[in-house]
Amino acid sequence: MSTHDRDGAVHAGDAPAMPTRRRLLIGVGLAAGSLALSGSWGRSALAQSAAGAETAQSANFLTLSHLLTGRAQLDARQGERLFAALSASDKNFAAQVTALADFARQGSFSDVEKLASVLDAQRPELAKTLRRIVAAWYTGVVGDGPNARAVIAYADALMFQPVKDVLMPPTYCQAAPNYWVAKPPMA
Amino acid sequence: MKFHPLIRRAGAFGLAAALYATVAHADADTDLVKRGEYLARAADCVACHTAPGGKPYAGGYGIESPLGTIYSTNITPSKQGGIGGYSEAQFDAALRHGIRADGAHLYPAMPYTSYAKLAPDDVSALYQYFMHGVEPVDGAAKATELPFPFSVRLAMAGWNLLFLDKAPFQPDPAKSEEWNRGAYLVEALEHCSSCHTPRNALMAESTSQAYAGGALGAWYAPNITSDPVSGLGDWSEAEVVQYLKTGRVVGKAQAAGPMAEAVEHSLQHLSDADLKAIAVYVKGLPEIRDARDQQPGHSFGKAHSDEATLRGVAGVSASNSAAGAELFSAVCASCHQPTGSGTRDQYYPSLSHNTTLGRGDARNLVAVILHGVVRRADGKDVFMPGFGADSLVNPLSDAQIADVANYTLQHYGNPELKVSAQDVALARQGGEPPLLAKLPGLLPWLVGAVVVIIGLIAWLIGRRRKG
Repeated sequence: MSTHDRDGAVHAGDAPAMPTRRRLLIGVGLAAGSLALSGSWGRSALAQSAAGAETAQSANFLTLSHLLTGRAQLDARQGERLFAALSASDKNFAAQVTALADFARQGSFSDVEKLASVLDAQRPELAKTLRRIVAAWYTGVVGDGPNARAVIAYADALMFQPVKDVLMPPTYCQAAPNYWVAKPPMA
Repeated sequence: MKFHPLIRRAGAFGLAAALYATVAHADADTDLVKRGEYLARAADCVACHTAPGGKPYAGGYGIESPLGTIYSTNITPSKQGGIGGYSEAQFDAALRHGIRADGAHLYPAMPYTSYAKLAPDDVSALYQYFMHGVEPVDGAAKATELPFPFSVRLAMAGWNLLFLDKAPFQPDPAKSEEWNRGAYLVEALEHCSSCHTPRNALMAESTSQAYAGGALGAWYAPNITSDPVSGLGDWSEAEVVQYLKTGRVVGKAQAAGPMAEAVEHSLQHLSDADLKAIAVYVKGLPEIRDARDQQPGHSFGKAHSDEATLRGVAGVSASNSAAGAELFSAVCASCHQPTGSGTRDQYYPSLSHNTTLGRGDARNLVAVILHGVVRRADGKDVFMPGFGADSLVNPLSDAQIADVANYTLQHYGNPELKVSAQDVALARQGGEPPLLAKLPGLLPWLVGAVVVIIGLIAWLIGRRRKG
């Protein structure tokens, strides 16, 4: 087992193009620092408010995600990273999240199936965004095929949760060696 | 020659009686051999007297003592290579007083200070077993060659004078029969104190700290006194029995290293009554607490995962502040699970509520990462690969082992504990050597100091005489 590049196969193609959240934060921090040094307090405040806006957007994304996945419990750290990756892959993503959230709120949707069918009829571009968000949470990966980005969630990806009591994704041991000769518990 | 019929009858009867006696005697011998076999298991003779892959009891197992490697003797009944020529008295002297048939002294790597407490009946049974129940193997085991001054075996005569109590075990009439049986098993046969009692500067067991925990190479034999924080006070009797029988108690501890060997070769084969007696005795050992311990070792930690922030970011780098978390994800989580909670059957145990990570000493954590776990008990094989230099999975550096140990201590164990790369390097070399092991290097200085002191005394006496 190599300790390096665990998910290399997936992100090897386009890793450098992706401004990770860490890099983004460092960038924002550096910008704020240099601006503060130059005495441009106004512009520094601007940079800070930009970072604040991003946090607010990420929080909106998490709130929307609760509706889209039908789950009350989602990992906020994972949500932040999915939002950053989705935003990096599409510059309009943040705006679409806002539009989608507004649409859902105005229609008082509480069921994702209903929301999706209405969007398919009235706002097909937002329906596409909805499915991208759900796919990201379920697979833990942003994008498909050659455009796929880093695996952001693996064992914690939602697709593995319904069977978690008896089945972990590959690479994780389920139980003692040879446990598979016994029938899995039915409960 | 003619005999009176009565005499003839008596003769026939006598013959029959003699025959009967022989048969009964043979049965008694078989029983004695069987009892000896059980006692030999309880004393775990095979652990040290069998080389890896070698014939049982043929010796040659290298005991890594801090003073050098001590090779165990061939104790099969071979007259040529083993102890076949030993009389029972000679066997007794070797077993209980550490003196070989040729008069030479054994090193106390042979726990004769514990076996000194054996009952004479049990020594007889052991003698019968080793003479009649063990397959003879010719060829003497590799000889022990310790560096000077430890090569002088006669020095052990002085050591024995100080530290060997030759009195056999005396039951305490004020205590229950079960407690006394447990005391006999713990003190004499199982020689638990050999590892669980710390040693003094002359490498004898420190009686004031009995069972308070001692170093054993890279491993640490923990405090097994009845103290609820540092020792086993918080364990139930049933849990102690289960641990001795299976090598693990979920939510408390697993046996690894030398304790795994003790469970595998000895403890799991004891009768339930004997294991219960051991538990009763151990649970009654006087409490000794390490002042640094604040809570029981098994009470630390909870499930924790950093997967959400780590997954998919660039790989492990030595300078990375998250190196411990990433190493955990890469080398530990596949078995112990991303949350460190272990598998649902706890075959791969939880890292929280685990004394290896919660005790006031991280030596066993480092040793288990370096050497892994191999334990066959309770009809099951338990295996964890090591991550030392000869790892078949992934050899880790000193710094990497320190990183991952600190990460697991922080989240699953005692967060006060810290492991440094130097600690890991020391563990690879077999742990901190005791003061006595440094003696060969110090010897010229000691000799010099003694010469100077003698000279000084002579000069003073000379001056006084003149004055």
